[in-house]
Amino acid sequence: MNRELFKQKCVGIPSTEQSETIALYAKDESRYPAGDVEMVLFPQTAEDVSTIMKASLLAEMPITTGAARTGISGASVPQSGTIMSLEKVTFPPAAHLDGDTLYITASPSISLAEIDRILATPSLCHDGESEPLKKLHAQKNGWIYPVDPTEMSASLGGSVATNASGARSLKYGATREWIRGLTVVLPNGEIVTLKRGECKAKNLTLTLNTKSGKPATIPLPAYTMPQTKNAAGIYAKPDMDAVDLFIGSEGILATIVSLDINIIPRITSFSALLFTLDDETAISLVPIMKKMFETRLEFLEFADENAVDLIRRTSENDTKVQQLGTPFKDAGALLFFDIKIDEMQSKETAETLNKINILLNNSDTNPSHCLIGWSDENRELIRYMRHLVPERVNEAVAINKRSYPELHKVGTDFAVPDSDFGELYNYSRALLIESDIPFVVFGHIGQSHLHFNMLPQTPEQMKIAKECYYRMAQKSVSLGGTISAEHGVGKIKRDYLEILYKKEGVEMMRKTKKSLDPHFLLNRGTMFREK
Amino acid sequence: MIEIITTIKQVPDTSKIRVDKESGTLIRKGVPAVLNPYCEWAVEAAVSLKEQTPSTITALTMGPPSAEDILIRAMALGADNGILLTDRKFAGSDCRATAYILAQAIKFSAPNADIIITGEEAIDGDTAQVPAELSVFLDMPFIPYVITLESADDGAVTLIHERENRRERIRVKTPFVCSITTGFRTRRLLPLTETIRALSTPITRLSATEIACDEKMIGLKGSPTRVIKIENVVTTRGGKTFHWENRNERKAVIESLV
Repeated sequence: MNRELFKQKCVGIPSTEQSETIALYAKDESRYPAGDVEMVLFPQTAEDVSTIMKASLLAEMPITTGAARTGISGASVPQSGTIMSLEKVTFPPAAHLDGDTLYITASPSISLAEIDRILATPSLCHDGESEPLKKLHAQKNGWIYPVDPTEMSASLGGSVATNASGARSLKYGATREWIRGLTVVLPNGEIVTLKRGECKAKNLTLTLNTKSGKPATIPLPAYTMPQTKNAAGIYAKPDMDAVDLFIGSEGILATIVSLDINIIPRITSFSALLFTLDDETAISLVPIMKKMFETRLEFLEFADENAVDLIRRTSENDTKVQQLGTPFKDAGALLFFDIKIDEMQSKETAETLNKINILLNNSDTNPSHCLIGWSDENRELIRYMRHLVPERVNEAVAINKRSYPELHKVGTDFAVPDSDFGELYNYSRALLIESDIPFVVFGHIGQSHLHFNMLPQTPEQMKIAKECYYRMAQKSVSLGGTISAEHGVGKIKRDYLEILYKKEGVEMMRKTKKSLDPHFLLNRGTMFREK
Repeated sequence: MIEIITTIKQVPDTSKIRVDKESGTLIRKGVPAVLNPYCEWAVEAAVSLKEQTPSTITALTMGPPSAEDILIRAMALGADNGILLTDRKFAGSDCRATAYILAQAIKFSAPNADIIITGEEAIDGDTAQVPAELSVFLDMPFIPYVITLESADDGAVTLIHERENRRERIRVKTPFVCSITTGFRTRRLLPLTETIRALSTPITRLSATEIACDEKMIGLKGSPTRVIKIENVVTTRGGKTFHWENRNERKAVIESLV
C-alpha cells in the first residue's frame, strides 16, 4: 500500500483524516468491528469515483464503499485502507420516457424516503412541461417505487447493492426487478453504462463494453441459486443480463454511480392490523389469505406471541401503542396486511371486508380485533407498529449487553419454498425452546421468510445461539432455501455462505471477483474472504 | 338519547396542493380530496360524548356525489348515519349560503337535534364563518373553539372551550352549535366490524327542493360574497436607525415618529 501515491492521485477530491470523523464512517448498523482506516474520501461525480478506483489500483489501497450506512451485515465496515463515502454523489432525480414507460434516473446517495416523498406528490417537486413530467404529474395519487424495505433512510445505491426486499416483495419482488439500468465504475476505474436487455451472458461469460473501448470479460459462477427470495452470493444464471451482476453483489464487483428505476402509479389500498389468539391461528390464516386475495395482497407480515409480549412489556408509556386498546392488550400474535382496492367506497371493498369477517369468525378470531386504516395517518401508525418489533429487539439486546458487552443478537434471515415453511418454522422453534434461548419471531410470512431473533443473556447462551443458527441454516438450505433472503452476507454471514454454495461455489465467486479486481481492493472481506 | 349532528366538509389535501401564482387561487386539479381535519375532530368529539351518554350521531355534508367518501369515513369513525346534500343549485355557495343550506337540512331532517358539532374551519377556505352563521340560521347559541365535550345530563352539556388567554369550563343548555378546535384526539384505526357497518349503511341524499331552500338564498345568486382579487401579500419588516447630537434633535426625531 502506497499512501502518499494514493493521496497524490486523489488530490482535489474532498477528504478527511480526522480520527473522530473516520470513526463515524467506519461503522454501520451491524456494530461489526472496523480495522485501521487511513482516510475518508467524498467523491462527487462518477469521474471522481473513477479517479479513486484508478488510484487504488496504482497504490494498492483497499477501498470500502458506503453511503447511508444502514446495513446490518457489516458490508460497509472497512478492514483496512480508505473509505469511499458516496453520500455526495448526488444529482436531482429526473423523469424519462422509454416509449410509454416512465422511469426515474437517480443518484446512489438518495434515500428511499426521499424518492417516496418526491413520487407521492411529483407536482410539488418538479415544475416543467416536458413529456415525462406531464405524464408524471397526470397521476392524481402520485407514484411509487414499490420496493419497500423497512429501513427507508437507506440509500438507493445501498439497497440495490444488497438487492434489498421488504414487506411489499410479496407482490412486487425484490429490488432487482425494478432496476432497468445502472452506471457503474469498475475497480480499474472504467465507467460502464448498462441498460437491461442490451448485454447478456453467453456460456457463463459476460463481456462489458467500457467507456474507454477496452471490453471487460467476466467469468460467471456456474451454481444454481435458491428458488426463494435470496440476497446471498453473486447472482448467476447462464444467459443473465449484465445489469443483474451488479445488483446484490454487495459492492464487491463495482461501485454504482447512477440508477434507472421503474415506478408505478400509487395504488389505493387499506391496511389492517389483525390481533390473533395465538401463533398457530395467525399462521393458519396465511395460506388461506394468500389464496383468497392473491395479487391483491400487497403484503402479509407476522409478529409472534413473544414479539407481541415484548412490545407490550416495553410500551406502557407509548401513547401510539396504547391507543390500540383492548385488541392489543388481549393479543397473542399479530398479522399485518394491505389489500389493494379500487376505492374505499365500493362494493368490492365491502365484499373484501366481509370475506375477512367470515374468515375470522370461522377461525375463532374476534373480527373487532382486526383494525382497519385507510388514511395516511392510520397507515403510518400501522407502519410504526411493524417497525417497533425490530426496534424493541435492539433495545432488549442493548440491555443484555450491559452485563456482557460481547453479547449480540443472533438473527436469521432464512427463506424456504412455501411448501417447506412449516417444517423450518417448527424445527427452529423446537430447537430454540429445547436449547432454552429467549427469542422472538417476526417478518415476511407471506414469503415464508421469518426472522428468528435469538436474544442470549449470557455468554454460554450466546454460544448455544450460534450453534442453533448454524443448524437452522443447514436446515434451510436442505429444504431448498437460502441463508440470507434480504439482508445480504456482508462480513457477518460470510462463513455461512459455504453452507449454501459449497466450497466450489464460493471459489467460483472468487474467480468472478478476481477477473475485475485481481488484488481484492474493492470492499475486501465482504461476502467472502480473499482466500 | 341525545341527537347529535356533525357537519363535515370534503377538502383538497392541502399538503399536496399548489397556488396558481397569477390568479392566487388553489390548483385543485389532480389533488386528492380528504375529510377536513377539523371536521374529523368534530366527529371524534361526538363519538367520545356518545361513549358516555346514549346518543345518535348524524354526519351531514354538502358537496358533489363524490363527497360520500367522507360520510363513510365519518360513519366508520362512529357516526350512525350520513346525509349528503347534493344539487347543482348549491354550486357557488359562499359561507352564508352554505350555512343556510345546512340549517335548512337540519330543520328538515333533525328538527329536534340537541347538539350541532362543526369543525372550527375548513382548511381550504380558512374563513371559520360557517359555524357561527349556522347558529344564527338555527337560532341557537354558539360556542366556538371547543376542545372537549366532557359530559351531558339533564338537557345540558359541560364542555371546555378556549378563550384568548384561558380555557373555560361551561355548562350549556341544549340545543346549541359548537365548533371544535385542533387536537381533539389522535386519528384512530377502526375495527373491521365498524368499517363494514359504515360501508353498508345507506347514505341519504337530499336536494335543494327536498329541504325547502329559498332559491334566492343559495348558490351564486344567494351569495353576497364576491372575490374581487386574491393577492399574495408579502410583508416586509425593516429597521431604521435614528441619530441625534443633542436634546433638540432627539425631540425632533421623536416628534417625527409620533
